[in-house]
Amino acid sequence: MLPVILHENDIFGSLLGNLGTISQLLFTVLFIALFFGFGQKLQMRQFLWDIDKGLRKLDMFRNSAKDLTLKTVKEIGKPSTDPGPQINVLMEQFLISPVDMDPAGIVGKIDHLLDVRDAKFKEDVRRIAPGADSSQVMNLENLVEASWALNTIYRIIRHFYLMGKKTNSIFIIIQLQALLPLIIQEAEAYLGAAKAFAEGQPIGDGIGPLVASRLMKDKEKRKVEKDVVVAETMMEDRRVIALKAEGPGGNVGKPGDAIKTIIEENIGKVSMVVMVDAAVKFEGENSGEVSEGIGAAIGGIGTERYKIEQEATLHKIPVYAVIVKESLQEAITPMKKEIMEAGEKVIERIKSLILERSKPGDTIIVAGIGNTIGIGQ
Amino acid sequence: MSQPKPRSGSSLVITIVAAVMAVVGLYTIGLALNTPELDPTLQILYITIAVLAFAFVFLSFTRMRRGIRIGAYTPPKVLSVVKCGQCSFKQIKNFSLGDFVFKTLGKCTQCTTGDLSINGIYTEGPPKK
Repeated sequence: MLPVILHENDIFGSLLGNLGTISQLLFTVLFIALFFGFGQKLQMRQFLWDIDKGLRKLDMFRNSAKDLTLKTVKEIGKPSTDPGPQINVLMEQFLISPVDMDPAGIVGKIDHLLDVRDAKFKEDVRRIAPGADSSQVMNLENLVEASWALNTIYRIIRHFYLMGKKTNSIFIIIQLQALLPLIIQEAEAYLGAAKAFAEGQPIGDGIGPLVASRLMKDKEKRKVEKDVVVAETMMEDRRVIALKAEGPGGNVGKPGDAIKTIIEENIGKVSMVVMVDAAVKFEGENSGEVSEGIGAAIGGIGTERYKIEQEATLHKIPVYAVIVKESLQEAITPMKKEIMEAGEKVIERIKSLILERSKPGDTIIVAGIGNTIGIGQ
Repeated sequence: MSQPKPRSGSSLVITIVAAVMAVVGLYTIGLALNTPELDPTLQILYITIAVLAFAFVFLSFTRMRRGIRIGAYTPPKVLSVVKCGQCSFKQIKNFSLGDFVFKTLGKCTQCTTGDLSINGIYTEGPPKK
């Protein structure tokens, strides 16, 4: 214990006597210096620590996904050479969107670009994994895409982190720090998706194809358009044409083209189109809740929705949507029980919709939209 | 070209500084409370230093806990529901590689006439806390 004795008469004693005033002044100066001079700097340093931690987590996610991709390609694809360098090339792949200064015809251009990208990606994966069958190639393609997404997220976040550090811009840093928890959540979901794709497990987004496959069970199927299968069934005395992407490989197909073909085959005599899809729920809503509305329920860049809307408008066919609510994470990770169980509720909704909005003998299209990984027909 | 990696080791530095601050806090609070006939001004100074030191330690640990809370990814358990098309036979098994919805698995062991197929694949998800 330090013996502190105050002596009123010597200099040390008088100094200590005035210690209250000195310390008050010191703290005031320190306070002003810290909170006005370095406050922002200190805050930025703290934000940078948070981002740094998040970035290391993202790096871990992308490495896990890449390792999983390599392992799965080696196991399923039986390549003769090391697929690592080719996977690295795929991870850095990009798509240049068409010029939109003159927007007329842009949907066709985007559709063409996506077709080329899809074909190239599939061909590249097939070359890397020669031992995989067509269904496994689809799953591997999805797996590579999930790894690509994680790699891209990491690269973008690292770019803004380094940029913020380099320019000392608190606005870049604050935005990044604020968004990082959401980004990490999304990245974690992509890692879950990668695991599901590696093993071919159905994901939450597959609820549309699951409903369609239940409708087309034990019925004769045929293939229409790119990777889309169709089967006819009867429901409440109506002719129901159910369609979904061809499974069980990871695939979304081109439902827009398929619906167009079916409407043309029936010379426009389709009384309604019912689209079943997974939709992002709001926080606080329950996963697996079923809701219905009007319009084309289909995600993606918008080309397929455009085709459906065009064809429906041309033939004056009403388009109804039945959606199953789920979070973005649930949509790309293995299907939860409550989402799977929502399939029966969706079929009941379709039945009541058909009874209310059509007459016996009518033709109805039911389109199951989404990724059909792990769901056959 | 090697990619620059984010800096690491900041939490170790914070832990060391927090440990030093904890010692400083304990020492000064000891001085403030145990020194006989201590001048009130000095006592206030010691308490102020101790409060600042403990505030730093508290803030450091709450920061760290927030980082840990993000948690590591744990893959969920995936199950396959096997049903017979003829009888009421139903079995829930662990998902195995190659399983898919509507995959036929052979004849039913209960009724021996119906086909067994996978009716659904799902995950229960992590238990809610």
